[in-house]
Amino acid sequence: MKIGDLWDHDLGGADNTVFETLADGGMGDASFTLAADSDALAWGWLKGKTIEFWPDGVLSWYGRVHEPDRETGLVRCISRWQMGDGFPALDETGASTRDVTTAITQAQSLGWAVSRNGVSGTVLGDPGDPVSAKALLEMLATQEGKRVGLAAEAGSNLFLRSDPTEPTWFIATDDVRLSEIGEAPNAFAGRYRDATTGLLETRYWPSPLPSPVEMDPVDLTKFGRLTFAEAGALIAGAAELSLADVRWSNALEVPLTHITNANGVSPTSAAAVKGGQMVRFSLDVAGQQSLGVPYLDTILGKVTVADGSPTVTLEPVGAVAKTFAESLEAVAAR
Amino acid sequence: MVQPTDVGPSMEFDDLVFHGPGASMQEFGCALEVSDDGIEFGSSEAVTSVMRRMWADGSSVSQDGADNAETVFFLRIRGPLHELGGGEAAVRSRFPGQHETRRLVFRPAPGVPAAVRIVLRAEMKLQWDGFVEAGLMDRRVYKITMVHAPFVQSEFEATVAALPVGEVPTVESVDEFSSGSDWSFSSGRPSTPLVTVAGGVLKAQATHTGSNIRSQYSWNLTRSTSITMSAATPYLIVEHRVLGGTVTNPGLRLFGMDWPAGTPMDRARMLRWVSGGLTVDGWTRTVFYTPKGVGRLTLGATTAFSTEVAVPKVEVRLLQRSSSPAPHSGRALLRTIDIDGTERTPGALHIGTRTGSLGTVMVHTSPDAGDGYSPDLLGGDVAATSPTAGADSPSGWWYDLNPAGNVTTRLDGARFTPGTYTLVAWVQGHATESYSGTLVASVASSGRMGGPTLSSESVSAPLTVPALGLRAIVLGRVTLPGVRSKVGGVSITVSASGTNRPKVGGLWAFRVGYDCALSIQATDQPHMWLSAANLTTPREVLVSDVGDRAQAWALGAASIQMPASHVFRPPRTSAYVFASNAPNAAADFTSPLLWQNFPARDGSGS
Repeated sequence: MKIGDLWDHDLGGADNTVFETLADGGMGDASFTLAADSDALAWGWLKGKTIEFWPDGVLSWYGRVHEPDRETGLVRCISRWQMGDGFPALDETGASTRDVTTAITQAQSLGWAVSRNGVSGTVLGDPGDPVSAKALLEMLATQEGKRVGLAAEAGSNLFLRSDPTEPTWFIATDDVRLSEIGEAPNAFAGRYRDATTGLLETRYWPSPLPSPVEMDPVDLTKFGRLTFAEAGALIAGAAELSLADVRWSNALEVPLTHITNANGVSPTSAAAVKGGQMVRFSLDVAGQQSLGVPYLDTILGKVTVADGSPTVTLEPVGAVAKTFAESLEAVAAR
Repeated sequence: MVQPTDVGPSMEFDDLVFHGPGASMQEFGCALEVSDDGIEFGSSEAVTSVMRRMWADGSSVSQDGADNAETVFFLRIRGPLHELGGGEAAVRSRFPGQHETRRLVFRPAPGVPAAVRIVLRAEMKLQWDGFVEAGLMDRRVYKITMVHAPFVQSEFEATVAALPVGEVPTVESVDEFSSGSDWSFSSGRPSTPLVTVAGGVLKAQATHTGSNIRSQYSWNLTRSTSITMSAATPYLIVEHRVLGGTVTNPGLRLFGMDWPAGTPMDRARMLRWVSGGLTVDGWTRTVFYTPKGVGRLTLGATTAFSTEVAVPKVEVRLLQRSSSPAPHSGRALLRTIDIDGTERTPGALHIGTRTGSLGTVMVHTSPDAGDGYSPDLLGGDVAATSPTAGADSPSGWWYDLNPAGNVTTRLDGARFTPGTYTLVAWVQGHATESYSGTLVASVASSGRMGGPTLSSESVSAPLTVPALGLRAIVLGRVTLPGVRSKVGGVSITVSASGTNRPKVGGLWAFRVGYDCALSIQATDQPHMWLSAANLTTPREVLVSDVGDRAQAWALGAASIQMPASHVFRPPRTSAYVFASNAPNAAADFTSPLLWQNFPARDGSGS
């Protein structure tokens, strides 16, 4: 790994390097440990330094130092995607904007070193208080039913893409135990503030409602003032992103030897498995009976790679926010 | 330091020597004796992780290395009461401080290899006798605990040459063209041809006296002395050119006549053509396969010119026999290092060339699994739109990606142990313009060689390279082979986007996995040492203008494109070394030998 413009080997070596790749966002958190008694290293020097992880010679994560802890030696880092939280979505006059192109251009001029790469669009709702550039991009993604972020292999290019429809990796669940959390709702009642009247209205989705209906209320007021059509579009986009009706919530630690590609070859590098890829779990008899399908396709929400480990830790999308409604609100809350 | 004249086993700690009971006095007035009771030499502690499997009984256990060990012994310091304090101080002052190590050497007997432990931390605890005895006794006993690195080392470091394996072609010149007397030329022109030599080049031409000029000539150039080939060097390589006008069909055919002419065995046969039509600065390089030798060699062609010319002139500058059809440059070679000992060892890999500089140095180490793995992808069946031979290219050829070109290599899937590989390419920029775009490698795998593609994957990387600039570019990670099969095939195609595309001279798939490591760094010095990290020193890359490591300095971080901690594991580690400016660079490896408890050999080679 690289710290500033030095390789960690020049500093006596870093230990316990861990980084996350995400479906939403591309790059997540990272951390590493430096020997706490490194007198040769002024801990103040670490502050703000760019961090890059290069497992197997391929850049897989980059960001900067966030919190060095001298007592434990643990240095926490945030990725350049997460740094987008620090740039408000404004236009060049300083007014808040919902146009993604304008917001990114302004964030770039303030120092967010990303390339727009053609990502554009206008987020629904009226500009009230400005959200961060990163939150605006996440809202755009939710609206379009896509995922947005920054993936290390694409350099500094942002991505806005639909989920893959074919699995990249295959895992036999005889080997892992998925903890099931039950069925997701199949309808929503979205409460939003109408664009013209400013009053609270409700939009039911989908239309017509399925029968029997399992409805959850969702608070869309955080998006600002919306029209009836915009509210529907928001719920539809977010619903597209939650793939399985049944979801599991535990983080799975899977050895690489138990993951294969479509033709039976296992990766020998944990960094070859990334957030955003689709994984097919083949289910054992008990799983098939409880879920009613022989396999479960899911998008990897978060993949955690610990350098040198022969295992990789996987979490599906939606693992953190337990229900769809919560995930929609989690986006709107930023 | 007192010369050890005492008998029996001894232990050296830094510059102190401990003996068994009855040891003689040291210069500070005390004897240092190791008690026979209570001594325990530590052995490495294995670090393992256990995973419980659901589908079968038992758990899988993986060993992730070994951790430090602890050696404990009782040391008796014996001497006059007023000297005992000085004895304790002598021992205590040798303990390692922060970030220091000391050597603890156990010698069982003269002539038996000594076991060296690298001590990281030491403690001494006084074994108290009593208040009154403290004033009367002539000895004090201490319990010494030393925490040391997991394995014992041999006393000396061993240096092993890292010899290249099978890929350096043997090339011998068949004719140096110092005299043209062996050669005769005929071209259908009635008058006597001229055959001369100048500067190592054979020049042959017809002489013309009439007014009849043509645009096409059939000519023959015959060498009367026989050529001995061998199974080890079965390829005959010719570089020739035809002058006199603009040639529209460069090409060559070769005949051989069994020697001696006129005997019943004398017959002409066409030698098997391997590759040709590849130009090297205007010269055409043709390769023929003829392991059995040639009697009377005849080169010939029907050459067509764009306009009518008076006389055809043929020049030949190279006639060689070789073990490889490609003009191998010797810049990228697979080497094996035989490592003695039983445990992986930190050591220094030295790469050196006699003159000039190494240039970009790419090193990939992997355990030699005996499966014949070599990272090179361009040594076999390569198809490209515009190849040109190039002695400065690692593969021997430059594959131009202009104007709409790509280069495809087809390989046997079974040569890759299934897993993840990092693809790296060596490119040269366009002849006149700089390039900025994307280099793409797509991998297609089939279940049976030549069958339909069942799995495909693509990686790409941005590339910026100035005109004629040379660069190593990491394209990304791929899974090879894409299909698990013993008879499958893998096809890798490299192409580039945009205009003014570069040329590809090398393409490698470096295995990723346990104990595999890839490093890329560049230097303008002729010697480089890559040292693996160990407990006390970080990884080092040192360079020097002389071949002595003591006179080397650290390569700046800016010159290191990709560092790695190379692992050297006995019995054998493969090291693939590419040095862009240094053909056939020498390489050797120096390291201590590591054993678990007692070394079998001391590393001095005797």
